[in-house]
Amino acid sequence: MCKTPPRPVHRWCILLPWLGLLLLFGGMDASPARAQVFYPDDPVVVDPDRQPIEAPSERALSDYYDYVENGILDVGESGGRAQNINTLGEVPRSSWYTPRHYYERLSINELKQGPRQGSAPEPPFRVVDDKSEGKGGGFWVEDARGDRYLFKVDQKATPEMGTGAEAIGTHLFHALGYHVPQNSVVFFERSDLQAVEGVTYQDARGRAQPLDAARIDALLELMPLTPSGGYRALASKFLEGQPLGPFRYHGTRPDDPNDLFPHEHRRELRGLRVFAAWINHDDSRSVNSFDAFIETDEGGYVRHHLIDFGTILGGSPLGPKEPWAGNEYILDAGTIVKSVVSLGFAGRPWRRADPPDIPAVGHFEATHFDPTRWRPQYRNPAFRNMDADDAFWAAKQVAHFTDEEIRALVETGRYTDPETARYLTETLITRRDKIARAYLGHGGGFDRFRITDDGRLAFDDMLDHPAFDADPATVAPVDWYPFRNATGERGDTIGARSAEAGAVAVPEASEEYLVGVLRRMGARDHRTEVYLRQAGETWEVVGVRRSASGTPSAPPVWTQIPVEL
Amino acid sequence: MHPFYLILLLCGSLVATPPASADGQTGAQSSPAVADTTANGKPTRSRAAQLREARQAQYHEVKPVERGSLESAVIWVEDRNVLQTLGVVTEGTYRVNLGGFRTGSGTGLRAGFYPFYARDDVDFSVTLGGTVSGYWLLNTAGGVRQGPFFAQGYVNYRLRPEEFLQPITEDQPETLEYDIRDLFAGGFIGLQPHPSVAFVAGASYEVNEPSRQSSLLGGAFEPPPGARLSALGTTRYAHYNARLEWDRRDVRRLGSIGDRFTPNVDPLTDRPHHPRSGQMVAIAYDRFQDVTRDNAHVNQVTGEAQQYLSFFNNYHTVALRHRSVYTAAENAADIPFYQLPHLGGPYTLRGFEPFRFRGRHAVLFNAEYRWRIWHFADLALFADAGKVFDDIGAWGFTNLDTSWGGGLRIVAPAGVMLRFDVARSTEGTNVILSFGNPF
Repeated sequence: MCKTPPRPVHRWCILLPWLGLLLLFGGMDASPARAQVFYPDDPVVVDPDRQPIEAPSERALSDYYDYVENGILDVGESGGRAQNINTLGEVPRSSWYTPRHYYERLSINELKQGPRQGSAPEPPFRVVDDKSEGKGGGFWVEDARGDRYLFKVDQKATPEMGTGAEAIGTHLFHALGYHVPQNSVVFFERSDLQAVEGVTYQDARGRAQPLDAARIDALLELMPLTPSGGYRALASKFLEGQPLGPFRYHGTRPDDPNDLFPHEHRRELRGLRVFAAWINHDDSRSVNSFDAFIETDEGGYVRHHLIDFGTILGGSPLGPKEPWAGNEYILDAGTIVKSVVSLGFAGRPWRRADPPDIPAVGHFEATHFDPTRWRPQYRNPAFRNMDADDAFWAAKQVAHFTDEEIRALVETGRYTDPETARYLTETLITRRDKIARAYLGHGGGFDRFRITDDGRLAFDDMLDHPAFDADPATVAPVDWYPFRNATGERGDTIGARSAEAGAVAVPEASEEYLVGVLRRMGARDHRTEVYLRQAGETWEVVGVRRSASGTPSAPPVWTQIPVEL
Repeated sequence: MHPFYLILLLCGSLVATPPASADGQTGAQSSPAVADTTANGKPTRSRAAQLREARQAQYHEVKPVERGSLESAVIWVEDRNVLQTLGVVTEGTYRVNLGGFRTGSGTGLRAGFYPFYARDDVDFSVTLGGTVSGYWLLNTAGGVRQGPFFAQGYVNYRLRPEEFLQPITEDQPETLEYDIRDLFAGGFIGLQPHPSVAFVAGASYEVNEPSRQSSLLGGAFEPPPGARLSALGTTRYAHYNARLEWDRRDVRRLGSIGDRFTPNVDPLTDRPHHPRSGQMVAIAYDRFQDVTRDNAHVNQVTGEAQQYLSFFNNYHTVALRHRSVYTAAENAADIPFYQLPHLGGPYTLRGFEPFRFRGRHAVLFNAEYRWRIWHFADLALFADAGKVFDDIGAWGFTNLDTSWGGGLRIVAPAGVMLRFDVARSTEGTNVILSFGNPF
């Protein structure tokens, strides 16, 4: 009788049961159910991303490749929540972003001052270079103080279009918290410009030509005259720091250790989609960004800027925008297919838009504007990742601007025709309201949580805004729960309290953490969790989480340091 | 506990516990999901410390930015201004244009020298071109403009292998092919009192020398067997012409106004742009005074009207064109076939071969519905109808030859860059790849 010999058991196999036990006991801390949620310094207000580093090298970005990479290639990680946020869902101060107008309202004068430090450029202006980059015309000058400016100019057919838009965009993005150049509209005469001996420029064929008085005259010949017979330009001050090239809307700079969060997961870049939609900044591409190495005593860090706002609103350096700008990607296969099969009658409702006949405005309107359908020129990876939390973060800042503040921002464009300023102001107000209606309902529409002097939890009702015709629905009684920070688990309810006049009582509790759940009557799915932590005799707001689909089952997570580090 | 299991547990703890960093704290590689708590659950670390440590961990991972091969290639193209250079050669002092010359010419290249391209008041150009079908041209032109007045002089030489398809008699072969050499020199003066209105009057000396296609290789001219067109030898004309034009199409024209009005083999044929709105009406009179055979003068009147109806921000355009040509010879002289209007081909009756129809008079109607499917592309559905006839009384809408079809147009800022049409007629299907709109 033949008997099959038993297969030898590998000696490591006997470890398998123990490996299971090992994971059960030794690896338990890695389970999300045991995650510590809040740290003592939460919510952080500063992201320490300005630690001293060595200067990275300049990285040029091809304008063409920018389109190829983002329009055709699938770059960046898709999905997931923003990673660089604090436990309130806000973006901490960083080398990318500075919380401004929404968090501490700027005065009208501060809004109009924008990023400018000091006074306006002072003539005479020594013309030191031609403007070779970008699509618009212009030249570089040094003013009487030796400060270097790029003078961007309008086309003859569209006076004030590009310069006005760039001034408005600069002041707006500054108020929204981004780093931007010091841009302002300036007026000058021919006699204010001086040629500099020995300075040359490259002509269209790459040959060096003298940038002399004749060349300056030729440049001015292409510019429109102001009503007083002078000239107008957008003076953009040379940015501080060593130029490093544009940043990308995906990934990180491998030569900048401070660049921790993939850009497509940065809230200020994902939420930028809403800001861009508001002012129709369809050219919000990588090539219109700028990294600079800012030297400090210990070394330096990289500061990230948005630049070039001449293509916002309804124009571009080449004239009025095409109707598709802001409505369609530069390559949008779905719309093309719809147009082909429908003889052009489907897929483009905005083609019926009727822009105003105002030369400085171009194609900018609000009637057909739908913020959820707005499109930049290409599939910006950060914009593509924008979720309801990112949109809420941005929309509340847009909605925060009053009519008067918007009017003040438009005034920085210094338009000659009052009708231009009036139309732009009204259009921006209408678009602001559409954005508010589209995004502010997330989580029920609550924000600015704070503890009042009498120990109650107060909040702002974001739906109490001129954008909404009807009064917001009543806030339902707030359910309170204990919260265990070490595990992220919520305990059994400890009761509900009614909210009145934008505030709700916090229940007596011995717990270190509490969570209150806010929602509106008749809207159970949209809810906002507010996490409180005991701070002596009172409480402090330490976390906010919004949901559009009931109570999330997973413990809350905000800042997410990439695990592959 | 057995020592083996103790060692195993310790090893497992090492695996499951984040490694300690140099400062003794949990390493930056740890996820915030990992608890940093003491036994009583109190947090021991800060969020900011985690963020700092994560960055410190990256200090050792810093590496220079590396470009991929595709990005490097694109940057190479951009740094060397390759595309700008191409743009320069189509619009600057030295130009190379790709495209056809006229109906049936096929694709070719035209190289030109335009030393005054940036000036509005002076114009001069020398161009040389050739096509795959054997067309050649050498043009020289120069002109001036002062206010609403302009004037231009020119010397042009052309060699055009041309097909003459329409049978004249029953025994004529279906297809006869000829070469025609043109030499014409002359000039014109013009008045443009308004951007939409232009009047031009000119005179030139023309020599037309037809020959059978083999003549390119030295063959002799032979008239078509039984042809009624006896005057098919070399003709020499004093050519007088006048033209009045009212043009309100939204087109962006390149080149000088003189280029537009230099007499062409296709009267009134401007470079096909891509208008989406507006209208154009033009009428031209050409008198070809025979200077070799005293009485064989030819008079020709050509009228053309175009209308573009656009709606929804120019995303839809209905384009209509009508052209009528009247040709008459004095003293019952025969008219050389190459002076006769013709229909067929990519610019007239697209469902028929080029030069399919020739006659003393011609009438043509085109209608297109164009719609934008992309920022740089249009689709079009079209219908063409037309006829040639010898009796002017036959002018009208009866007995028209028709064709219909659809097409794709690649659109550049200056107009249609490439056109791909498929046209159907009673004589079959034509596939057209062309540069520029039909009108």
